[in-house]
Amino acid sequence: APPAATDVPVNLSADHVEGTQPNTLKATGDVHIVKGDEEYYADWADYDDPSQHIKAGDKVRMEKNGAVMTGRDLDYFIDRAEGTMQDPEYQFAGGVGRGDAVDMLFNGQNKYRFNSGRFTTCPVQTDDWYIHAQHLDIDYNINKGEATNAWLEFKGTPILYMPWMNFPLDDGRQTGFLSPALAINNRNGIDVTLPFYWNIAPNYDATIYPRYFGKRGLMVGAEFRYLQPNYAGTIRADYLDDKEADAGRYDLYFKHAQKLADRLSLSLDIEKVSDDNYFNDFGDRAAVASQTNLPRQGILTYAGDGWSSSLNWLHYQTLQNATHTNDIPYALSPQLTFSTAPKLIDGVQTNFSAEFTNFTSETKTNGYRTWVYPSVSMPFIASYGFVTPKIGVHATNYQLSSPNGDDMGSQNRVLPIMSVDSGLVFERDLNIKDEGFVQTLEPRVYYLYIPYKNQSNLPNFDSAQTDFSYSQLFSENRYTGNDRINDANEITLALTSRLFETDTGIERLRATVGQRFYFSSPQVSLDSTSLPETNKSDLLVSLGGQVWRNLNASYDLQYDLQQKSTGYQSVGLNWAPGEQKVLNVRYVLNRTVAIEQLDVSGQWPVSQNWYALGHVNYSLLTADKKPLDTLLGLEYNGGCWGLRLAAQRYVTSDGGNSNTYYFLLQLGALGGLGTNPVSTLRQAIPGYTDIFPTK
Amino acid sequence: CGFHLRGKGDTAGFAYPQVYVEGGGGTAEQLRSYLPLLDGIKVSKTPVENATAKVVIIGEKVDNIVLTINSSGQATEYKVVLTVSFSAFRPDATALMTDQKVTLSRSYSYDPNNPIAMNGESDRLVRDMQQDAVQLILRRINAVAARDKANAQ
Amino acid sequence: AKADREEKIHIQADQGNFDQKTNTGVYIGNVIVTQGSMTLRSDKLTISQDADGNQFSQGQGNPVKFRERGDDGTWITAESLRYDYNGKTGLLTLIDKANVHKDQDEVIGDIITYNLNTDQYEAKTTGKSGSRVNITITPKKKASAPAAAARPAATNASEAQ
Repeated sequence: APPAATDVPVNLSADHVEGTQPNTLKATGDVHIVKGDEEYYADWADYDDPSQHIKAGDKVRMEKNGAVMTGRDLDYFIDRAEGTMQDPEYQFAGGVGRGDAVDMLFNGQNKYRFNSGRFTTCPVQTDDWYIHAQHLDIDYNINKGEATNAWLEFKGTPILYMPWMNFPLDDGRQTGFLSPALAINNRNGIDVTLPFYWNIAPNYDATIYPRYFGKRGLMVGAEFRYLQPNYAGTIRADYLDDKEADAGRYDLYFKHAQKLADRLSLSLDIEKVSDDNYFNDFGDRAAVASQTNLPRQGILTYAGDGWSSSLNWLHYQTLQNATHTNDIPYALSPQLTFSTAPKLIDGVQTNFSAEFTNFTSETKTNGYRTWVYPSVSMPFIASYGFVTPKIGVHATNYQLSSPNGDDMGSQNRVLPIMSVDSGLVFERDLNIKDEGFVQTLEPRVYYLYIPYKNQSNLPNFDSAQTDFSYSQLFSENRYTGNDRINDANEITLALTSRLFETDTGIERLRATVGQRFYFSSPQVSLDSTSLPETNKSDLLVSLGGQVWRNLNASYDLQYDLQQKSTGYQSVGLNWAPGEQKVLNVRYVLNRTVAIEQLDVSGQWPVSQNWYALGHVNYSLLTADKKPLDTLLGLEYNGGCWGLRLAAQRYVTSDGGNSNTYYFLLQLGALGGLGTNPVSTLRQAIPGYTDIFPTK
Repeated sequence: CGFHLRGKGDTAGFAYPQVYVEGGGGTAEQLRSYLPLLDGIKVSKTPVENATAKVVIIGEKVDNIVLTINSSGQATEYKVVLTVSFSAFRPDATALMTDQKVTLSRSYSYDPNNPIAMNGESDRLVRDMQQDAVQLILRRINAVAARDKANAQ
Repeated sequence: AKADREEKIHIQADQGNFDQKTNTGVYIGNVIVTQGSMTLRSDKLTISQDADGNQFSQGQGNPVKFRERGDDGTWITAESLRYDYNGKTGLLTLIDKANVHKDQDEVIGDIITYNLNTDQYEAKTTGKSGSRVNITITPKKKASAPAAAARPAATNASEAQ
């Protein structure tokens, strides 16, 4: 029996119709057939309603939910959406794609095959790029395009031949070749990556990325990701038989997080590379800068009711560099921590934290270190201020041994820690250009007493000097970690003023001035050197916030009044007046790490579709007086395609440089063609916004 | 010059007598331990209908970004950024504010020879920012609640 | 339907006369022709028969209205300003503002010619600008069988009342 007629009437109009029952029509003369939202125009058309079959010619135009196809000789079954058309020119709804072909097949709802055809996402009259293919399959049900014997034409010149390629019609995840990445680098020569994404299952996917280096050969990398309700993780490995270095080079990366039980969770973070120069050659700037110590870590954490505990194994692979040898850090084998804050008495905060660590090292003193730190504080908080007396005892025990295991005895240290933190809050209402603000004035006084105990005979496993910054003003210990507890008989005075928007309570500006006064000069130092005699700390000034509509500024100063010298000074300006318009300037002087730098970065439209971007990090130190990291780029937004050119040069740990030229041609929804340096740009230029229309 | 000690009614304390804090992470923990210290504020374990305001800490993200490098390309300063997103609901469960963001950052000098200490410093700065975030969140809730009440009259 | 062709034909009109010699009848004013389920209303009707018994009729009205029940029970209606029926060729021609309705299907055109023997029809325009043939086919309920064609004209002698 003929297929059930769908419930939509068919209307046919023409100059002349010959019909036979049941409803088989032969129409000529400007024929126009309408069925639901489908319309067909032709010079002549034979329509057989029972079988929903249209044969139309010579010139035919077909419109269906926004898509328009014009061509010759349509032979089509409306209900099954199957048929053929000759010489089609097609345009899909919403400008998601158009083109033409020798002939086309309709393979069901929203599925088309174009033979020897062209496809582009550019609007009509802009023929900037086309995919030519012997067969082009477009399926808008799963938003995937596939082309065989395809070649890419850009502005009239063929630029890439692919025996098989697929491309997303939107940005969903689907299996296939991602956009090839192209770069040229002084250390590796040509650097071409052709990633293949494999969408195995909704919660598993893999990316295989063969990466060819002109000077070094083919590196094969693979990344496998898994996501389950209780665990998720990533495994990545790269291997290269390096022609230039004449050695096998690899990197391994394994990150895993798992909820073992209701309150017990595990996290693993294992990274390893084959040699010290690996990131200099194959990493990007951030990798070079941060990858000095590669962690191999496992942490088990348990969250109880009102208490928590963790067990932590941590070893490092330390990458040495030519300019100076890096100290191999201690390993935690393992470290057990425990902390709780039981509510014993109303209004009284009791805290108890404890830690046992087995510090191991091949070269330095090993040891078991156990400390406990119970403390009690009675915060009194009122609307106009607060007073928080706190008293605690920090007790530590060391069982030391030399690297090869012979006993070096034990050490103990018990220190009471007493502090009184107090502050007042003054407020007033303020109107600036008829916008209501609340300005606060918050004086704060913090007294800390810790008796002196000579700790130069204690090992230093995990203590280091911290910056004398705003947050350090009110902390109990200027050293991080637990091997050095500074003696203190000091009072810290600070005055903070903040500006809040009355209606929203959002903080717009904050200014703080603070200084610490020592009743007795601090003596505990990290090593055995003695600290200079002093009765007051540096002066600390910190300002920051939104100073104008879209201008943020910050200023931080740490000034030594005695020596009239600046320990730390940084000035930051960030102006982001609009989309793709941002300028950042930062000057920083930091004696602790001996840097003085000017950092300028920005993104700005330079003409109708061209955007310039750049980042320069210039070291002002007399020894350097050179840029450490320079990035310059140009981006063109051609509507349905985009071009990204960027050049980056940064210093590497082996005393050399890495110069990379990125090239990315992004064709509409096809993803990019060439290295996609967006992540590098976003890191280098705070406030950078991507300019490409991701359809 | 117009400054006065902050009074009870203004933006101090917490806008509603009973509150429930939902969500995990350091900021939520610090909020749960700070609120009971305010006089007249009761922190309940479960959201009691029509009596308890609710503060939901939707998410908390910590990013450690390389801020500056030295001449051999090694990180000399890191910036740790804390982003807390939260919503607040009145006792009658209607939304006072949704998907608000508080972003704070601190920079610290980085010593490549002592990564364990650096992790410790980063954690300490995160805890300090979480305390700051608690105050900023309460400021916002109290300000919007105060305007709420003013409009209601 | 086909069965109607065997029924007798009745013609009513305000006035009518029949010329035995030429075997032609002319009826004027509210002419109603009925044959079985078929009824045909027109203002003027001329009906005649040739030697072999084939019948010819022409009519005009404002409009001429035709109604008949098809074999499958569905009603068929048609209208036009003039119509011409040729029993010999089996061709029924509706002329000027012609339209045919069957079930919910509809054919509209200037001239609709229907071949009663081959069940084929043809709809044309007079070529005047803007005039078009317009056909609407509504989807059939799955159960309905294809309907028989309409056959308005009589095949045997007519009888005046």
